[in-house]
Amino acid sequence: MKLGSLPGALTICLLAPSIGSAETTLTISSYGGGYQEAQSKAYFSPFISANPDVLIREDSPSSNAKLKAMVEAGAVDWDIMVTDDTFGLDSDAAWLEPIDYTIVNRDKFLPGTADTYRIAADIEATVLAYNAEDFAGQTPDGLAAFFDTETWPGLRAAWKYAPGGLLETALVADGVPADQLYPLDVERALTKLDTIKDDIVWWETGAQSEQLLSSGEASMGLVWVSRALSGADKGIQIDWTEWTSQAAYWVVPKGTKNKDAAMKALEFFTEPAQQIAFTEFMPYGPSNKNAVDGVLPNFKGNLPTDHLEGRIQINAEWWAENGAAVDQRFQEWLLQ
Amino acid sequence: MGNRSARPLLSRVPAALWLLIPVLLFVAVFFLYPLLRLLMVSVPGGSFQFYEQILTSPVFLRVIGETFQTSLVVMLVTVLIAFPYAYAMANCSRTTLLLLTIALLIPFWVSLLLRSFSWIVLLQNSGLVNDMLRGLGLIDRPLRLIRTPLGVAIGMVHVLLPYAVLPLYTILKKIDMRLMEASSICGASWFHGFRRVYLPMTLPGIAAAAILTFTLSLGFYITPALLGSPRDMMIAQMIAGQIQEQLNFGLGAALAVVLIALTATAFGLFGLLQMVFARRQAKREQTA
Repeated sequence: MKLGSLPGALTICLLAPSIGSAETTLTISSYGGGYQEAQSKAYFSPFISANPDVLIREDSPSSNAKLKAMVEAGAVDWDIMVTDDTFGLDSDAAWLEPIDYTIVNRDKFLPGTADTYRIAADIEATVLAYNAEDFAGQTPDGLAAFFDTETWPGLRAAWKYAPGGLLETALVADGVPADQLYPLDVERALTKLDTIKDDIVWWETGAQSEQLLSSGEASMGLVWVSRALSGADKGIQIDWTEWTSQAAYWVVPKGTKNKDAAMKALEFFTEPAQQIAFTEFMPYGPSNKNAVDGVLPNFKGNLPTDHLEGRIQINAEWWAENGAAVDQRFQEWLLQ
Repeated sequence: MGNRSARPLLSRVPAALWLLIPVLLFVAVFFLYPLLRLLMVSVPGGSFQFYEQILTSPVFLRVIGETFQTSLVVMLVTVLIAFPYAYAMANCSRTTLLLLTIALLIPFWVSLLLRSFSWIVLLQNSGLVNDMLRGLGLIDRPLRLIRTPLGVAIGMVHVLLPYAVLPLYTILKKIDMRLMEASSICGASWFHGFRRVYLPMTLPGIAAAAILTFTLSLGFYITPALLGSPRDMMIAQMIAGQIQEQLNFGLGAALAVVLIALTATAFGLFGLLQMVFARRQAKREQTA
């Protein structure tokens, strides 16, 4: 979930009216689009209402590369950034401040969502979505359908991003149990993908994936759940049998001048009230265990946390260690 | 005369050179300095590991080869299409010229991204072209027009056309068409006159159009990303991947340096060719 808006598009807006004497300005960079609007409503606005001495300045899109460049140049403009599973691990220590667990309450998080350098903002999913019109009332049942173009004809939309869950999807469809995926058998996954390589249409931004499905160009796709749901009025449906899970994380760039204020903001953003408010706008589940039962009914039935039995967990630690080599192999395969 | 050498050194600098100072400063700060930094990032601690990786990896070499191949094809097609267009512009009424110029420049002012997306709408399997062909009963299954090298070429040629037409037009409109009449009076067929009289005079325009389109093609990013398949990846996409996804600034910088070096080489080769041509031309005129 890296490229929320068009590349190069940079939207900066001052949220708070410039009255009063704000002492601190927190700059937060997120994915942009509807996602960031939801964060703005559920997290940022209530925070500045509760803390009149803090202003929040929004930036987008977030970029691991830009954060790294800022830290290396000693010119850190962001105080908080949203990132995906591949960043914020212990191996990224050079660019991040450790989360200050004297300010942030570590106990409130779901298992595995609070690490040394990052805390989860929400739990997300990449799901198998399909255009119901193409299949005359039949409904696919699991990820194997993605690879079966005879029963389910049409092009397949997939995220061109090796750590995005595609290899895991291929292995599960090939019969590997979800809890025995790691270490990934990359060659086996690619061999499975070879069977539909000519039918895959690659997407790189969320908007692209939605366009592919709703225009009818692709009949089936592995897309983020929010994108699948916004195509619902065009007949896009979700098969929740098996899905790969991701999360969005808050990180704090190393060298920010507003570290304490940033930590206080993160503690506030991950409180139940805010995370529940977020589910009014986005179909992503909370990372705070005390918020899970309180989610709003808007997306009930389509929140990743409603379908935990079909969840295929991505092992971020494995990806941190092997990501570069696997990506090189993936690029090689793409070119073949 | 004698007191001229007594004037202070600075005042002997031609006035025109002073006017260049802002430009030189701008280029130094915003181009040369970043370029130097890029070079340094690509050789961390004086090690050439990233260049070694590029030169020994089939992936990188293949992408570089692909980039050159695509750029060559795009250059050829663009110049081939641009030549008759520029010819028409140079030899038509004022109204037609206005129409041709508008038709050329309006797309030029539209965002590159927007144009690439428009091509998707037209060329995709469920796009206008395929729908029409299917509606007419000419095809049963959609033709693969995008996510192929063909799609990339169509998009790139469209983007680059003005860059080829405009330099060609400036040369072509200066050519005296009475020379063609003269050649036909001397008994040459139209084709013969075109080949022997008209075409040689257009060579500087063709060369300018070719070099512009070729060097611009080498750095294309958005168009191949949107209209091509991953198999048609060009080097700029690879650089973006290393910087944005792999966070490998060193390798990304090294790839960028390779791109600059190759572009410069291509530029130099073109210049050399042009010089050889000009010299040969001059010699031929002398002997004639």
